Amino acid sequence: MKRLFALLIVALSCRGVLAQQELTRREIIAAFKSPDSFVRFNTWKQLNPENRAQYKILVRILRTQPWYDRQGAVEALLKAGSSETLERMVRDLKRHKDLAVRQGMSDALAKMKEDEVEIKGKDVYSHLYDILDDKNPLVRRMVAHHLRVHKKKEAVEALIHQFQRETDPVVRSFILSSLNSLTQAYQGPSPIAWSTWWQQAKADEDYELGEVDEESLRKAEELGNKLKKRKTRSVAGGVTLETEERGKLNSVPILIIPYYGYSKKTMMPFLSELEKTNKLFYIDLPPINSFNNLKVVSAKKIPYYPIDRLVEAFEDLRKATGQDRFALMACGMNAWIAMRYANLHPESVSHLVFISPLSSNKAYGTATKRMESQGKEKKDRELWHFALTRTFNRQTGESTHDSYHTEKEIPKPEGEDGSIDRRSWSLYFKDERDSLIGILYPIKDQRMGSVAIPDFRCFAEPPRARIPTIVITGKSNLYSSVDDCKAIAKHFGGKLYVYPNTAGMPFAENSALFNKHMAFLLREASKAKAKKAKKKRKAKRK
Amino acid sequence: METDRGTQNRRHPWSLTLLTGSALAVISLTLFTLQDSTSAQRRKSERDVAIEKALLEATQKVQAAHLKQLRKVVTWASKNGLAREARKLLVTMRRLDARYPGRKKLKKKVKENLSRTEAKSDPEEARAAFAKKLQSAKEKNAKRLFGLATKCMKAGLFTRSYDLVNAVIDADPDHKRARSILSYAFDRKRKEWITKWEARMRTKNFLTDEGWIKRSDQKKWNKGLRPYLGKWLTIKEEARIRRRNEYNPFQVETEHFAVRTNLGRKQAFEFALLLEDFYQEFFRFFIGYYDQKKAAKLLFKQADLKKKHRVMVFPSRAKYLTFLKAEKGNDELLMRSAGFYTPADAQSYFYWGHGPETLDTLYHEVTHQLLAETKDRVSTSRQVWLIEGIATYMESWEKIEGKWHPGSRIDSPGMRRIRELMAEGFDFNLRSYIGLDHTQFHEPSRRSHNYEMGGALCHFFLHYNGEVYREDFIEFLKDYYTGKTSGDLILDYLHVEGVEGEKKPLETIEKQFKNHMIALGNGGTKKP
Repeated sequence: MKRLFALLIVALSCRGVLAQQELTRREIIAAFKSPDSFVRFNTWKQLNPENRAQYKILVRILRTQPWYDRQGAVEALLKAGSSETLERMVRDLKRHKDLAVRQGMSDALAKMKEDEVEIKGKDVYSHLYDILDDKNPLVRRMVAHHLRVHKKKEAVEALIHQFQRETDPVVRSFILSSLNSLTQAYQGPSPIAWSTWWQQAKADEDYELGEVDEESLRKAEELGNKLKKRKTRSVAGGVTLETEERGKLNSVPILIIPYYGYSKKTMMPFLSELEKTNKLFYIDLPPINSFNNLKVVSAKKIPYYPIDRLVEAFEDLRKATGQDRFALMACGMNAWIAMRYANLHPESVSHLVFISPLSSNKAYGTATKRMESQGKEKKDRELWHFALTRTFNRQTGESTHDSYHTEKEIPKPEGEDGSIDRRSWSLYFKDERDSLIGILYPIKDQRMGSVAIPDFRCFAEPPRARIPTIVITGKSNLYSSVDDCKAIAKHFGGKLYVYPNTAGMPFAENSALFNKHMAFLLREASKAKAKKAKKKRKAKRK
Repeated sequence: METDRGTQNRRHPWSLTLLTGSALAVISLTLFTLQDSTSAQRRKSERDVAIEKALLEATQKVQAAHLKQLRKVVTWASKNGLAREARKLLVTMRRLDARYPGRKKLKKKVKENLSRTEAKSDPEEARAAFAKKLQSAKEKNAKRLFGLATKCMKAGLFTRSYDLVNAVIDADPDHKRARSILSYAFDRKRKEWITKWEARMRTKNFLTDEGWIKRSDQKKWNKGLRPYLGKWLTIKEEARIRRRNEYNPFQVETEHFAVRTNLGRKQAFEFALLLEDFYQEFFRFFIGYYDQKKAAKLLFKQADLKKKHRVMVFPSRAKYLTFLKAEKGNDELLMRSAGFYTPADAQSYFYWGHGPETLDTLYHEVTHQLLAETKDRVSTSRQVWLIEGIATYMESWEKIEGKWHPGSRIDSPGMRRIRELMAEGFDFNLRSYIGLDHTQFHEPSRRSHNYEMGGALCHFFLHYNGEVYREDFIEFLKDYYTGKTSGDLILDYLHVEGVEGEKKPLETIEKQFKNHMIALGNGGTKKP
């Protein structure tokens, strides 16, 4: 007994008192070498921006490291208080040659909300308005996004001003989103409408930024300026689908199906150009517990995701919305739902757009192996362990990753679940530094629950009708291979586009090219349709 | 309701101040002989009965021994004309045991002695002698209690051991070993007992109403300067920087918590002190949630915290929402919340709402945090009623006259609503409730109700009928948080009272739950 008490007392006396100390050179070097993003992030945020040498390290992190590291650097930077450091930050915001540094500085200064200290005749926050016209759209869209939080009338003024001359559709989409967030005015994609509204609102002394007018919101929904929610109960599918729709009324509707487990919000900012010409139905796939009586596997009774029932639910959605046909845009493995739908109801599908699709379970397995070997080869532990989470033991239901830690008796490092989740998300992007990855990260998830992937072989189901199809993928995508995408495009008689500087989100990383290909597909198809109708008419006349 | 109280007394028959060391052999023997029993429920139940019987016997012996000592002291006092002291001591003895043998006789004897004895010429000398005798009796009692505490510790009864060591300190505030076990150190300069952590802090720091400050910084601090990133700023300048956004607020660290807030350093320190106070009682109550070694470390403040529990308090709801908008992607569920804990950030967040509900949220979120951060694995269950229920239940804790009373606040708005519902004959379906998944649980129209129901259900499992389900429930909580079970399997853990043969445990639990809630409303069940 005495021994136990004595041990407890010794344990206590060994504890050190925590104290906030400046990082040593050795700690910083160790962090740079660490494969653990969680460790790096926690180190970067302890750096002191008031220390000139550490400020340089922070800039280096912004320039060279992935987005999560950069977020740690941003957290450190926004502690800056002296006018010298603030001036340095403003200079880097406007003049640094690397866009990633400009992006990072805009993030830090926006979050800092420093509107008391003046640098070069105006407060620090106001300098952000100046880079709304940065030469690079990747910087412009980030600044537009960051300005949405701090409710300032000057920010609205600057955003509307930029909106009027902005040419990049994604930047416009971000500006619009920030304007909606700041004002709740939902004036739609027309800069003139915003400008007119703002002149009136500004002149009104009683107007307060962000005040909500229910009538305007309703009107905005009717006009398609605001997302309209819809719930469709499908009897055949045994599930309720929740969709949000926006875009031009009475045009070819497109059903947007994001990656499995991801939210529609990851796609919305990049499809605004399409909304100008088409009505888009964004869908979050129903979680697995929305279905009853599913086939299960393993001791943990993991259910298979029911593709066929979803297809029936989509068909019911089409009927409920009164559409003749849908164009389907589906990402990754969710392309299987679109493929099956096109086969079972070819008359209901006008076009098919597959983003980095997979052809079968085998292709999924190959991708997993590719990730595992690449992770091991590059000593990218987070990638390797992510690959392990993608498979599970069919008997026990335990994930390969959990089994790995149990069998090898290696405890999971602190924050590993988060690190793996972030790595899985970063893989969708070619440039892992891009702040865009970080701003989409908190909204990316659509909780689906644990599911087993059902058997699917695309090539075993020959297409029942010729439907205009395109397959788009990024050259750097690890989730699917170019060869597999090529075979899918061939199978559907469609075209394959491989974007060089993108990965799994080609619509986000090269939106201009994506919009071009989409317009081409929709135009070509309608041309073909018109040609067919003309032929028919001619034949009738004869 | 007589049965409820009866059961409660049967299961917890002992009082903190009345135990003796003679139960050691019985307790140890019971623990060892029960290791081979086949049925877990049966084993638990038999072990409980044997231990409690032993503890009851030990209690009675300590009580008798201590009262015997006090009897001598009170008789001496009455013979020496110390009327006030004698009467006071009689009251103390009655508090210890209202029906101790020979009470009336002693009272009569004291009265007679006092009437016969004339007041002493030097009462101060008599008083000093009385104090010495009383102190000696207390010390002897403390020694006996400490002996029993040691034996409970050996038998793995950490909570009881902890309570006994506290009782030792009540009996003898300067009991060095008891103080040492509870992690106290004696400050020779100020002649007071303080925690070892505080003693260590005092060596190089001094305490202000804004927390601990380094002694070497005292001069600058007193001049109104504050340290910031290696520089010294004026209070005003520091406040400007700390308050301009939510990312770089004031931060104060105490033994187990790091609290961050834009409100001010003083407010951060106040929150931290509130949490420290809550921390100790939390581990005492949920000690069964941990394995024995970890439990002992946590309870006796010996746990080596790798990282302090981080808490962020926003100054207002508006600031909280702004933060959510910027960092959590306008998450709909969070935007409707009053606070949240996220394992990804290892931090709980909530805002100052200028009312008692702020503290409710504080304890709610910190409960999530403490349960999650003191376990290595995470829950994989789809059902979330337990996570939210246990945190909501913590809102029923209240502190009265410096002492925590778990589950005693039965008139909190949530508990009241569920009690009223049950009294109105609400058709509660346990099976469907515990099967709700995350989305269904947070369905906007049912969300508040689900939280309140979870809190009430946890109150039932922890306090019903003399806490008959408490240990089973805490075992379930432990397995749930380590991913060994799911929220809908609670019934597998309960040894349901009153179910024999073909009777269904589910229906029995539903019935008992309803009765528990109604009885709380009627005052029929003793408040926990």
